[in-house]
Amino acid sequence: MRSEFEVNRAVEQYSDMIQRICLCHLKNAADTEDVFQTVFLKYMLYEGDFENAGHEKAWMIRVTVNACKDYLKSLFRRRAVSLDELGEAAAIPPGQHEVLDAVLALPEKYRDVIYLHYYEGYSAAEMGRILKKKENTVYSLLSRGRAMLKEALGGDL
Amino acid sequence: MRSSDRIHDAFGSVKAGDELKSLTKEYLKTARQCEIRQRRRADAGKPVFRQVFAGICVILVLALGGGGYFLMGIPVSYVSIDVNPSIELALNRLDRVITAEGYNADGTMILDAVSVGGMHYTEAIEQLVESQAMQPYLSENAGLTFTVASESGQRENALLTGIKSTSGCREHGGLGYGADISAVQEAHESGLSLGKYAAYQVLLQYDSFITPEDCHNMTMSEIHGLIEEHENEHEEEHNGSGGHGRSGGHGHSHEQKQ
Repeated sequence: MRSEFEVNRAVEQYSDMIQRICLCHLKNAADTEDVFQTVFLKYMLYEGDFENAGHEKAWMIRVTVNACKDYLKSLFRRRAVSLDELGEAAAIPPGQHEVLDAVLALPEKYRDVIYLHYYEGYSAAEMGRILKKKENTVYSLLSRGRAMLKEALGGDL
Repeated sequence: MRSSDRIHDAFGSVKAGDELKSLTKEYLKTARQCEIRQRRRADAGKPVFRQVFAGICVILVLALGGGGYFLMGIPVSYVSIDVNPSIELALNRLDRVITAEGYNADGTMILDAVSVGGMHYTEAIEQLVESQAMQPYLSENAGLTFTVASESGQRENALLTGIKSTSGCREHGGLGYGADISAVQEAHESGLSLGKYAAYQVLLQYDSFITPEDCHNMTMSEIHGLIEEHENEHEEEHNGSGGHGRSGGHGHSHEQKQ
């Protein structure tokens, strides 16, 4: 079991990233809290070793994406809330709502690759390894996601 | 500004709040203590063959992709909801409902109408208390009672706080109590929910002839009424004769009136 120091370090290091992934999948702040607890509990109890910081980060991303999907598949459903309410919970400046609205309006399968590519800077090959998808699949998702966002936001992507 | 930069900046503006991080750290602290206690209990005094069998079970569960069973499938807390329907929720370490049992016909009927498996306990309480099936039982002074038992006092307090925050509790004047986790098994052996069993234990202090079957057939309002009558009589005797006070009760460690 990981030490309290390690776990608290991970909470500080990865909370923003997990919040962003939750934003892509979940509908309210309470669900995000539940996923947070699930992800970091798994991290605390994970007996394996990470090769390096990149390996640990990739593990966190995969566990968070899976936790969000499992959560949505469970019996539990909460009401959807507006981005304004989500924004208060995630401290989103009002000026960013247009772009985030456009991303969240995408079908769910595109949101992770858009986030991981445009914010975390992962290549299609890297995303394929993290998300356990074929590289060509990731390329297709990224391409279609880009096209939809370009239509929504205009400009080059 | 390029759209790609706008996307980057938009995601960059998303931050986890300090409160969320603090809540998560507190949750993990509690989870760590529970895990340590469970591992100590598991290691202490078990015959070797039981340890090996337990180890094989764990391997099988994990091999079958059931690693989540450890997180999701083991009850660590119980919430009893008693009016006349008696319903008991068993919760996992994520405070989600693993099982919901009716401890009388009315409770079973409510659960036939409302499914709460997998829900967070506060959501389950809202669904049950606000359901159509429950409304006929929630008259004024119905005695809606929530009783909680958990492996730690900290979790017990957190659960009671959560219950207090539900609209179901606030709107119907619910009372909240804590009980020892050891009472859960005793309650079930008596055929009562945790909440009714805890109330029965209090009543037993005043009336040694009361039986679990008696309480099974009474509403919480009736039980509370009897307890109040005994307490009033006892207070009158105490004030009149200067006699000794009553002994401590089982389970009713604190009361929260809404």
